[in-house]
Amino acid sequence: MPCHLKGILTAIVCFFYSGLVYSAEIELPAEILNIVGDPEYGEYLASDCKTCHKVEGSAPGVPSIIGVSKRDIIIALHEYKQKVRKNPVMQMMAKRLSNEEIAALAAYFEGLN
Amino acid sequence: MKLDRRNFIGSSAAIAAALTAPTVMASGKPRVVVVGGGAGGATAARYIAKDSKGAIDVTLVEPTRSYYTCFFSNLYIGGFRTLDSIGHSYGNLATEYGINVVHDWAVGIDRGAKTVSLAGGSTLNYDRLILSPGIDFIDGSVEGWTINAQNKMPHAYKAGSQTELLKAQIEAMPQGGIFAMVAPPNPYRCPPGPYERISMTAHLLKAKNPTAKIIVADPKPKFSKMGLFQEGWGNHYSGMIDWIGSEFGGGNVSVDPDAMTVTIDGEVTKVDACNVIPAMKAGRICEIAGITEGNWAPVSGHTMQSRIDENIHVLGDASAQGDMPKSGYSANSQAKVAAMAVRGALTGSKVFPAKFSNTCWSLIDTNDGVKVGATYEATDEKIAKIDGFVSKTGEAADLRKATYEESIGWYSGITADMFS
Ligand SMILES: Cc1cc2nc3c(=O)[nH]c(=O)nc-3n(C[C@H](O)[C@H](O)[C@H](O)COP(=O)(O)OP(=O)(O)OC[C@H]3O[C@@H](n4cnc5c(N)ncnc54)[C@H](O)[C@@H]3O)c2cc1C
Repeated sequence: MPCHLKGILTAIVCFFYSGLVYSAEIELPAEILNIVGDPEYGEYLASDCKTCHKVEGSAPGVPSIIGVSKRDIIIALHEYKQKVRKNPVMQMMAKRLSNEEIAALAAYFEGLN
Repeated sequence: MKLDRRNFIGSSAAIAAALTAPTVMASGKPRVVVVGGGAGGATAARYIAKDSKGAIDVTLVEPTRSYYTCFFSNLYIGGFRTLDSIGHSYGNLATEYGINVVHDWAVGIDRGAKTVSLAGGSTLNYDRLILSPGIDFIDGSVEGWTINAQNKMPHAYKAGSQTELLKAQIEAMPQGGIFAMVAPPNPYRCPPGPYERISMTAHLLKAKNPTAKIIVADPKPKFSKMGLFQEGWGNHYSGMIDWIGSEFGGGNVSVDPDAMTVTIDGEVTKVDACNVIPAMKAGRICEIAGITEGNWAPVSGHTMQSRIDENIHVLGDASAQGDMPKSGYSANSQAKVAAMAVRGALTGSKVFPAKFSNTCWSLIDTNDGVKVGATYEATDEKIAKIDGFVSKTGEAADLRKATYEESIGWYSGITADMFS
């Protein structure tokens, strides 16, 4: 369901925008949520994230993605991929990720927690 | 041993030779030399050292002790950043990752012997060489301008003292004075860079010198994010900026740095500050290495390996790779692909298919940020664009503010990814 049809608070969160706040805007089937990702591949893919997202600490404007649960990372990336979350940079980055690649990223980031 | 004169001369000559040309001893580990500690080189050195966990010897050759990022240097001109905040040192790369940081210039490359010679006289051996020297200017590309004139008419396209100088000259302009920019032809580093600079110059002048005028002589008919910049110039700096594109003679330009005049399509204008951004080519060391074709060094998108020598990878602005713009973000993205390929070749680590991305943010005025971005993949022919986006004209002020804030986060992220 698109952001604007949800409650005003969620809409604001979705719009401003890249915060990895778990908003569960979409229903993901268990077979996608349960894919076992390859953390080594995830580490390579994550190097793309680290251009903007700091591994240590955070910076204004780009939220930290460290300490976010595996499930929330998977859901957030699928939300960007389905354009439920609005940030165009993140929509573009998520668009080219396969379900397996999203699982790989989540597996890698979980290992940093 | 008795020290006779002959012996003494012999040994001191040997010591002198050892001091001036200490060829690095073979340690048994594979050796990577990275030339240039900018967006491409610092990232590549850091990733290779970090991910190989000591299995590869990494040497980084970079003449400057502090790297001033060109990215955000326009924001320094506009007064949004201090110069200190865009300067970065190499200390962490040495202490955290054991990178051998050599502050020197690479002046020669022997591809047969696989050595790099340095201005200080030393020689480095490599198994793989990474060149990320950025750009140099093409002599004679702007009539009347040479590197000797860069104090009178700064380029400020390599950041640091040039950027300070340009800002000081803009601030010293008399009330109602004229600032001129000679914009570069394609391809050049940072496609939106000159136009963000115009925006930041206008921002500075609007506050201190609101009757000043800005003239841009451009050899191109259009430029990156043109609609967004022109809308922003109209909104924030109405009547201040006169952009003269190639259709109106903007490419027919010469300058006289002593007289401080700019001649555009035959019309001579006396100016108070002038930013000349000449045409560009790959950093000279690529030419010395003999790996350029035309002005740039062609590479394979799969690994960033030179098409002329597979033991050399070329990153960032110096490379001819296909569709990616010459940006810090691109160089950083390419560096990660090259780092993975180099580790794979030297230590047998896993190599995944190359993926690239880029986003360039620009600031037009306070809290008015715009961006353009794309993703890319490697084909056998080139790095090919897959998909992209660009900010839209007429966007709401709060979205523009969020875009600007995002750029601050990006700056913090990319510089940490290079130096932390
Ligand atoms: C005004 C301006 C604004 C910009 N804004 C942005 C932006 O917002 N976003 C963005 O992504 N990009 C931006 N860029 C572009 C970005 O700065 C470059 O694309 C990027 O720095 C390229 O990285 P590089 O590694 O190829 O070269 P550089 O970062 O220039 O690094 C090259 C390094 O090599 C060293 N070197 C050169 N020759 C030798 C040698 N022979 N031996 C040893 N060392 C050598 C140099 O000292 C230098 O430190 C901007 C550029 C400018 C000019």
